[in-house]
Amino acid sequence: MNIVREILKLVLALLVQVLFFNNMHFMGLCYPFVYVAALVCLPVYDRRIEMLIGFCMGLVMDIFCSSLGMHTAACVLVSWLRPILLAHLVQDYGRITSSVSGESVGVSQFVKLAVLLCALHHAVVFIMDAWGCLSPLWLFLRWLCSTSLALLFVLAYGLTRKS
Amino acid sequence: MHSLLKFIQQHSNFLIFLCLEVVAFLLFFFSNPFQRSGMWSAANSFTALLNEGAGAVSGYFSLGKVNSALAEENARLLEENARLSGFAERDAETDSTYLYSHLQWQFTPAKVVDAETRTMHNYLVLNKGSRDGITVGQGVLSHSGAVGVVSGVNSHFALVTPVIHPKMNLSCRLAKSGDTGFLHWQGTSAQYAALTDIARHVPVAEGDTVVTSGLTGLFPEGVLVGVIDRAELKDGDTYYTLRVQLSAGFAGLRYVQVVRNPLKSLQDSLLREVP
Repeated sequence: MNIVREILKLVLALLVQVLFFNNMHFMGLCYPFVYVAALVCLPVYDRRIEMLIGFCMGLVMDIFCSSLGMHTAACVLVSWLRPILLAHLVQDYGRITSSVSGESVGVSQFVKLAVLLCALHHAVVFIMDAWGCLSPLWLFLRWLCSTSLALLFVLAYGLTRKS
Repeated sequence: MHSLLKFIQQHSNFLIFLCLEVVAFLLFFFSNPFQRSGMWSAANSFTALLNEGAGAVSGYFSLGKVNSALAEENARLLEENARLSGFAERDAETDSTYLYSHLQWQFTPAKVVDAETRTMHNYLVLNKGSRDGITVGQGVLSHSGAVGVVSGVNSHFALVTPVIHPKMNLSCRLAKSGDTGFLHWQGTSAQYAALTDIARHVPVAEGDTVVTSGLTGLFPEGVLVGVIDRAELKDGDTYYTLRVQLSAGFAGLRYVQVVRNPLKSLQDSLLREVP
């Protein structure tokens, strides 16, 4: 039952991203990938399973965005790094069994985790997107704006939910 | 052997991570442009269904705007129709080439079912394909200006490489002076592109309109492309640095016309015949 709920959450995150946020245009700068929230807040599983979930999420995003490989690479990186960061940030990381959220790992720890993972994910996607025709300033602005906006949603989601 | 197994066991997480990343990068670097540019998701029935469904919903929000644009377009066409039929009647007797040049262009209306206008690999997917007579290399217009060129078709869909694509090169002309140049997109904003090859002796002012040149046989001559938004001429430059504000709003594009030029193959074959 629990697993079905988690899978539904992942599908919902992808739908929200594909149907709503992918159509968002804000000065040609803001392209937030809010579906990262689902990866950041995923319950703690075996690391291999987390990476597989990340891989699948990224692949589905890539199929919808016709950007083969970009989201996959970013999501796998995020889901590989998350347990490592959690282990550094939270003392007794092994005891977390529920979803990762502000309540389960502590607010400041969750904020740090979300900022790092979001920034990294957006950086990978934007750099791969601009591959071959890089204009650094524009890339940086695009990264900064999109990350900040996505982060708002990730934090709102992760800090308000009850585990 | 034993130590190798031990190594694999100890670093299994990292090795799996590495494998998945390698798969992702293989997908990225070895997917062909056709897959990457949207045909894949358009041809894939599930994603196409979802995209079309989302388009159907979001389409309602822009109905008012689309309506007024269509009405405007209608009025303009009626006017042009009246003007041209007058011409045709008069000229058919005296000058058959004039009539012929106006029959050269045929238009197929199409709807945009999927669009990516925010990345470096922008594309549009139209709901008309080879069974509607669309072929690779035809031009695409909207009511507000030149949109792009068809770069792939299957039976039901057509893939369009828009003007805002790094590989796109559109032959344009300054409406006022008639000088031709090339339009490139520089990968920053979907609203602007650069016009090159306009020599310094040509009088250029901000606000001048840029239209298609009609030279390559893709578009009729004189289709609006955009307006010069910034004109720079540094000392010692041979050519202007021009920024063009594109008139076709790519973000909200819903209805377009695909241009067919039945005479284009004749035009091209002449170039091949004469060495």
